[in-house]
Amino acid sequence: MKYIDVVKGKWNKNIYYVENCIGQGSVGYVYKVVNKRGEKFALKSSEDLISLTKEYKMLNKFSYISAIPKAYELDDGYIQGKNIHFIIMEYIEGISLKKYLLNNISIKKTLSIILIITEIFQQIYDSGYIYWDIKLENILVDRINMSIRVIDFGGVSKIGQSIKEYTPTYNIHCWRDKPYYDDKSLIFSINMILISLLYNKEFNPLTNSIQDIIYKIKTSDFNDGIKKLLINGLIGDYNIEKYKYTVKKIIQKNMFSKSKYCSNWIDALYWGSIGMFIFFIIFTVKMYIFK
Amino acid sequence: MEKEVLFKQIILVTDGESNGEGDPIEIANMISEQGITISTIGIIGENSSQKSKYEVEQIAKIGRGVCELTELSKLQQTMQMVTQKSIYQTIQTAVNKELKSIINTEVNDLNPNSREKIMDLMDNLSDTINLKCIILLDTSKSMTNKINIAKKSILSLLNILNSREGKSEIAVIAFPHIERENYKLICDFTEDISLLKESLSIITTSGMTPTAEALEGALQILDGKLESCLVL
Ligand SMILES: Nc1ncnc2c1ncn2[C@@H]1O[C@H](COP(=O)(O)OP(=O)(O)O)[C@@H](O)[C@H]1O
Repeated sequence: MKYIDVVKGKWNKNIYYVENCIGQGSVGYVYKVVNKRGEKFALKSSEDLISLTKEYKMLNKFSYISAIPKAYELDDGYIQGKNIHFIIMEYIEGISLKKYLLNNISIKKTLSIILIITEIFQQIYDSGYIYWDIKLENILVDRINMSIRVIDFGGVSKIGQSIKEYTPTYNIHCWRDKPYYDDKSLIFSINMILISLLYNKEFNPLTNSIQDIIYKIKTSDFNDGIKKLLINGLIGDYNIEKYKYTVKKIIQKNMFSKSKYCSNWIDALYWGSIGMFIFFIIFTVKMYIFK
Repeated sequence: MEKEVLFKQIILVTDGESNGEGDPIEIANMISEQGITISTIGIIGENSSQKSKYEVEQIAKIGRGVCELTELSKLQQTMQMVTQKSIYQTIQTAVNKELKSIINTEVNDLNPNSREKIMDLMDNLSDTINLKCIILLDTSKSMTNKINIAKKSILSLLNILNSREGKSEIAVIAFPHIERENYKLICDFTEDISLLKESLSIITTSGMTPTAEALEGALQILDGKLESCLVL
């Protein structure tokens, strides 16, 4: 294996071999690195000390939530020709929901993912913080542990403090004039994730309005329960509990598509074959009578 | 009387280089000496010139602010990021100056454990200081297809900034204003999103890019009003 760089921590003196750059975010680069014992980590680098220090603090604060990457250390170093600060954290072998947009996942699976991330963001919210930078890229499907993971804690703020990192598609303030700085805005973001996954597309507030999306939903062939969920989520009608309750109900009742009798192709086949059978019987009976 | 802590910033948003009479770098220097930060955002596209990029970078450098080059679709986030970064940067410079005079060291030279508390303090400070931000919006002819997105971006910026604990006010200067005037104050400092929305609706595009003159105008507007304030 060839390494593109070696980083030695200024304070803790740990050495990491840099394999490759795995991502570029708003505050810096993320690299895949290994230590001397060959253990893999993600190294998140930044010149922005305030933001990175905060992220490290948040990762530690919420380390009891299993969806969050474990953070190991915060140090300074020299990488790719620059003096930077860095966090060493658990490397997550996963693909982001952004890539999932390309696959067609079933509505049921999509709703289950939504339920799981709602639980994660609720835990953070209940301890007095809001995860503002909700977006597809920050939600990873961990292929090894088959679980949902959330990364990028630089945009987490105490409730009542300002929004520092966000993505317009998922932020209610970019869509509406009337601001919400509470769990209604959180549900708005989560509901927007659901909309992106269902439509395989991310809507941009600079070129679309809430009304456009509501119209799209109304004229779609989703079942009424889902339509109502999506629209009320956009309007800002749900708090966390009510949203979770509604999603659960849809999953339990299996209400995914429009028709009551043909909810999927198996049903169609079933009713179809019964119809054929009856037709066949009538046909043979007729043959008997008129023989 | 208690003095409020205030952060004054000019954000220049342009898609080209200055072609007015004055020299924007010279004016930027003058503004910077008054303790006002100038950040710049260059909207870049396929035919952006090297010269225009260089100009916005230089203005931000002299203005001790932040420069970002962005495509139009990311303008909104970029405005917020530039504001956040320049607040952080200014606070950090101020804190470093203090540390230097007390213990002859900088934040970067402290180990991660000892600096955590200082970072926390700085983060809180960035949230609680009051903010006055003038947006200098290029409304020259080349902005015609971009102006609606620029307006929407300014509105969302105020909406996001309103989540801060400190007061956040935005003013907007359009340059040029019609053929004759180099610039015009479209909206005076406000926290009110509907007022801002209404004011922005009158903006139209035409003419050249008199950046230097507009910067000078921004300075006058900031100067006339802010005397009883402690500037970081
Ligand atoms: N712990 C990790 N494990 C694997 N990949 C990661 C990890 N952290 C970040 N990444 C990758 O790096 C990208 C950028 O990271 P992110 O934390 O979102 O940066 P920023 O805060 O700068 O936006 C992510 O989209 C992801 O692909």
